[in-house]
Parts: sequence; structure tokens; C-alpha cells
Amino acid sequence: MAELGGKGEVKYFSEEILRKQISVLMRAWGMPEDYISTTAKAMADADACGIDTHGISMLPPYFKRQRGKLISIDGPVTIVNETPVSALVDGGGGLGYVPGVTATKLVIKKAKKIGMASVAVRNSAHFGAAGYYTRMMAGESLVGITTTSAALRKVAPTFGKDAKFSTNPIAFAAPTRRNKTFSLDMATTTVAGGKVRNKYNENLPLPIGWANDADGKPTTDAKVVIEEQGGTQTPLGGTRELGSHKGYGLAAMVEILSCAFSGAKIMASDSDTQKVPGSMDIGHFFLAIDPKIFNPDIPFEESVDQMIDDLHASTPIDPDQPVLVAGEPEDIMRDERKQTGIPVPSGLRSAIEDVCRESNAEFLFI
Amino acid sequence: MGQKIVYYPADIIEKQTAAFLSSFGMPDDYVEITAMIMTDADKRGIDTHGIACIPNYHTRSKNNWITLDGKITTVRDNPLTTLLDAGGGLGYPVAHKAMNIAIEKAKKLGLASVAVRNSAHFGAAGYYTRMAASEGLVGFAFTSTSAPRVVPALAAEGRLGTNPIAFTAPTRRNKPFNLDMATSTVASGKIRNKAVEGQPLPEGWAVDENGQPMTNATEYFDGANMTSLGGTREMGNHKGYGLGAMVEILSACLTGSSLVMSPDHGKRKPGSMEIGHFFIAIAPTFFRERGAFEDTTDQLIDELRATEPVTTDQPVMVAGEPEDLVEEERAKTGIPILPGLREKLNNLAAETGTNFYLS
Repeated sequence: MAELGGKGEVKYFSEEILRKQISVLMRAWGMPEDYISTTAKAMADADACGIDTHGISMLPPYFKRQRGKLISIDGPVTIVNETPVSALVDGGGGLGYVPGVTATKLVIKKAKKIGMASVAVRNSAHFGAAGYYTRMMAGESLVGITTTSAALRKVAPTFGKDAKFSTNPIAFAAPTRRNKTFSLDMATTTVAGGKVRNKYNENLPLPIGWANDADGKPTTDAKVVIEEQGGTQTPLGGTRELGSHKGYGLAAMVEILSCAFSGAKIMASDSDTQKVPGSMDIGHFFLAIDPKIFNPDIPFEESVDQMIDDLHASTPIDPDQPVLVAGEPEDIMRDERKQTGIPVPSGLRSAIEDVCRESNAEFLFI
Repeated sequence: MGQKIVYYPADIIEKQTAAFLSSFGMPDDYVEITAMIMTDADKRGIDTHGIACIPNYHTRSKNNWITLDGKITTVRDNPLTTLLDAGGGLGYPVAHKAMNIAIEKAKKLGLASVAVRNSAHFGAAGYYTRMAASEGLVGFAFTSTSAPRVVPALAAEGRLGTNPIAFTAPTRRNKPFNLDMATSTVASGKIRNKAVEGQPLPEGWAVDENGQPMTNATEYFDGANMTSLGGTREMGNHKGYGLGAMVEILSACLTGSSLVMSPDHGKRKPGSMEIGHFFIAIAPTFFRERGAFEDTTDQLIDELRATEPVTTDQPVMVAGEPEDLVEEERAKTGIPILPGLREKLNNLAAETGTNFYLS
């Protein structure tokens, strides 16, 4: 969303104001009252910890999607089937936050009772940052894994020209005692789409390995991706020599977990696009494991803390850049933004202001 | 002994592998499983995880780092989960048992996981996940390793192992989707190959003792380390590092094994490398009607294989397919054994009084 950044003034707002702004818009779009606070909380949490691509910057695209009937903002979230260890949730074509939180609460309840559980979600849409759900599981002393499919095809398989996947993220979190939760939340691409866009905006060359042109050849030209000239983003690894087949394999694993368990549509396939009207039919997958069930001699949380301490103690390449663990940059950002508030750049403010006007909703970022 | 590659039928390789393991002191029932899984790697072209491991296993056993007759015990057993202790033995028999337990439980109850502690090298992780897929289940396998030779993002020193992830999904029309990958950029065997051939390393594979990229393959063996998948910070090595740490958490922390970066890793008790493994099996029929999962996975595989290739002589494949192709080829040609390895095995056979079948 860097193009919304603009050169204007950045203003800072509390997480509370962000939640309010999100709620006001969701209500104006017709989201059921009991879904609003869950959605607002999850979205504002992304902004609170610096994942600016997954918070309020999504309001303009969500506005377009609900108005274009790509999503059903009032779609009911239902449990299709359920066993002591599993459940299948239908997102009703709505935004993915309530389906995501519903699935996470189910998987937590079941895993706490019997040791592990998994829940699949179909007929959903964008659910924000995958790590939000795995951190919920870790908050209940469980190990959590979450994956999701995503709508826009941007990533080509190794050796291929055409995009067949989106950024297909995987999230994993593990509870700790002394340290903050270990929280990995990563797209299976080399870099996020926003980073390619930033280079494009600044007219800078891409590092080789971030993107391929329409012929599948590595390119430094961000235009081929951003201007939709058939360019693709690379799977993690970037080039075959540096292991792009591994990133590709992980992306396919995420697609299988998110779609084959749930029955959501395969994004690579044209055949069943718009299989469900008013739905992007995105699939999610959740797995939770209670480490206490194995009861090893060294308590699990202590062992994870030890690992984090050992990783922190690694000799850094640059003494000014200490070695971090997954989740730490977001934790640092969260602390910082608690002090400063959450920065909302002028471009994003005016885009949200437009959305508010068109939605007859109050604009709060003033 | 000649300097050319010789091809042997798989059953000869398996017999030779078994003969070595027996003469090193492994009990017969473990030998049968171990030789079968090791030879499967040779059949599928995973040459780093088959009979080529025999000299290493001999060294480890002779130095009492592993206990080839270690007793496998069940430490804890719950409806969906089990913790096994490998007794310091090689990882193959215990991993085979662990995945069988996970399969049995998952078929009955929907999903299951089995943790293993006090183990050692278990070969290719993908073997165990293919066991799950052949029973119609989704399988995951993870393992910790013996040496911290992979650097975290921003770090100058090795702190994690190659920490592999394996994932297999069952199919109907296609071969199973079978991902088996180290979370480092490349396996150390690939660096060794470059060194042997006197070729430079591509930038991003390895870093020197200051964490700087290095391309001299021979210097790698003097204290250099491997990179996490991604290779450099700019290319996302914090993601490979994150995955490596995830595998360490699942394989070591969850099983109560020692962390690979601990100074005393594998040295706390004689006869054990204290490696941990973790296995998960999930039954798709607990979510959708029988066959629906397989159909979706087949559809994905078909779509991916239909991707227009960058060059016509290199079609787009899916995970597991390169190994499936080698398996088909080697079923006809036999398994190639390079002269250096053959000589090593011949000498080892003489040293240990083992029958040699590869002459």
C-alpha cells in the first residue's frame, strides 16, 4: 500500500481509534453486529504490531470487494461438521476474520481437551495476518499452525512462466515463559508484494531473484509485476540455484492444507472460479498441539526459551544488528507504537476518507 | 577396483546395507527395516541418504555415539499422541514405528502425532510421510540434527541444523505430493560435490566464519557454515531461519531432546546423539467425503504440471516427482555406485569382516 503513503503528513492514532474506524465501516457495509468487534480487533492488531499491509490499509480493497459482491459481508459462519478432534467451518463468503477466530477457538477447545486438533475453513476470504490466529493458540499454551490460500495469482512454480499461486502464507507459534511467544508468519514468496511495489514507486531495480518476467526469466524490472505485464513473483529461494523449488513446494503444501481439507477452490484452477457466488472461496487450515501431552522431562516452554536465548546469543555479523527470532520485530514495533500511537499516512487517510464518504460512515482519522 | 560407475539391482544394495548393519551389531529386526528405508533412498536418487551413509554409521557406532541395539520404549501413550525413546539407536526403526503408530491412531480417531527422543539419523524424512499417504493420510515429519552448521539471519555463526520438513498428501491419479526439504539453502552434500569438482559455490549457499558470503568450496570445510533458505537477508533468509527454528521446536523442544546449538548437544550421555523427531498423521475423511481430498490434490498437481515451462526441455514438476522419475529409471538401470564410494565400502567390508556384494 506504499502508493497510498504520499508525501503528506503522518498522523498517529490509538489502536482504539483504529478499531472504532474499522467497526464504523463494517457496520455501514452490513456486517452482523456480533462479527464486528472480532473483525476490528484482528485488523487493528496487525497495525498495532507493524504489519501495515494487513490492517486498515485493507479497508479500501474490502470496500471494493463487498460492493463488487466478491464477498458477502453478512455471510453466516457455520460449522459444517465436527468430531472431537476436527471441524469444518463454512465462512459464508464473508471476510475471513470471524471464520478464522471461530476456527481458532474450536481448535483450542478441542486440543486442550484431547491433546491435538485441526479445523479447516472453506468459503472464506482474506483473514488478515495468519500469525494472529497462531498467537491466539500460543496464548492458550498450545503450539499452533495456520495456513491460508489467497486470491491473486502472483507466483509461478519453479521452471514455469505463469502464476499459479498467491503468496500462500504459513504461520507457526509456540508458547514460552520468559520470552515473548515464538511467532513465525511468512509468505512463501521471496518477498512480500509491497516490497516490489516500493521499488517500483522509487524507480529502483529489483534484486535478481525477486521477480521473473513473462518469459519466466529473472528480471530487475518491477514494472513487469506491478503493471501486470505477465511478470511473477518468485517462491522463497528466488532462483533454482538458491532453492526456489523449496519455496514452491511450501506454497503447494499451503494450498493443499488450505483447500484440500476444506474443499475451497484451488487458486491455480480457472475451472471453478466463482464456484460460490458472492464468495472468493478462500480456504484456511488450523492445527493445534498441546505440548503438555508429551510431558517431556524438560518442560516445553523452558526448552523454547532456551532456544530463543541461544539464538539471541549468536555472534551477529554486525554488532549493531543483533540476531532476532521470529515475531520479535513485531513485538518491538508493538511496544513502540504503544508509546507513539499507530502512524496513518496521509494517502491512506484520504483513501479511507473516500471509502467513508461513499459508505455514509463517520471518518475518524482527523 | 575400476574407476567407473557400476549399477547394481536394488536387492543387492539392500543386502549389502543389511550385511554392514548386522556386522556393526544391529539386531536383525532393526536391520530389516533400516536397510529397506536406506535402499529406498538409493532407489529414488536421494544418494546422500542411502548406502553412502554406511561409513558414517560405522564411525558413530565404533565411537559409541549411537547404540545400534538400543531398545525402543514407549514413554507415554495417550489416545492421539505417543512419546517414544529410541534408546540411542539409529532413527530408522523408531521412526518407522512412530509413523505406524500415528497412522493407526489417525485412522481411528482422525489425527495423531508421535514424538521421538534419544534417537539419531533417520534417513530421508519423506519416507515416513509417504507411509502416511499410502494409507490415505496426510503426513508430516520433522527432525533435529547433530551439528549446528546453518546460520540464523543476521548471525555470523551456525546455530541450527539443516532441520528438514517432510509433507506428503495422498492422491488418486497422480503419485503422492511429496515435499522433503532441508530448511537450509542447499544440503551440505551439494557443497561437497562442488569442492570435489573444483567449482565455485554460487553466492548465497555458504558464509565464512564472519558470516560473509563465500564462494570457495574448499574453504567451506574450514569453519564455514550453510545459509538458511533464502541465502541472503535481501532474498528472505529470515524465512528459512524461521522455518529452521520451527523444526527445532517441534523436533527437540516438543520431544524433550537437547537443542542442536547447546554446547553439550549429543554429549550428555554416551551412546546417544539425542536427536528428536516429530510425526503427524491426519485423516482427510474426518473433514470431507472419501476421495474428495485426493481429487483436490490431483487437480492442483494437474494445474501445476500444465504450467507453460520457461524452457520446453524442462517441464514444471511437483514435489516428489524428480524422485519418482529416478525410481522408474533405476528400476531398469539399477542403482549407480560411484567408484569412490565402492572402494570405501570395500575397505570397510574388509575391516569389519562383512561380506562384500559389490565387487
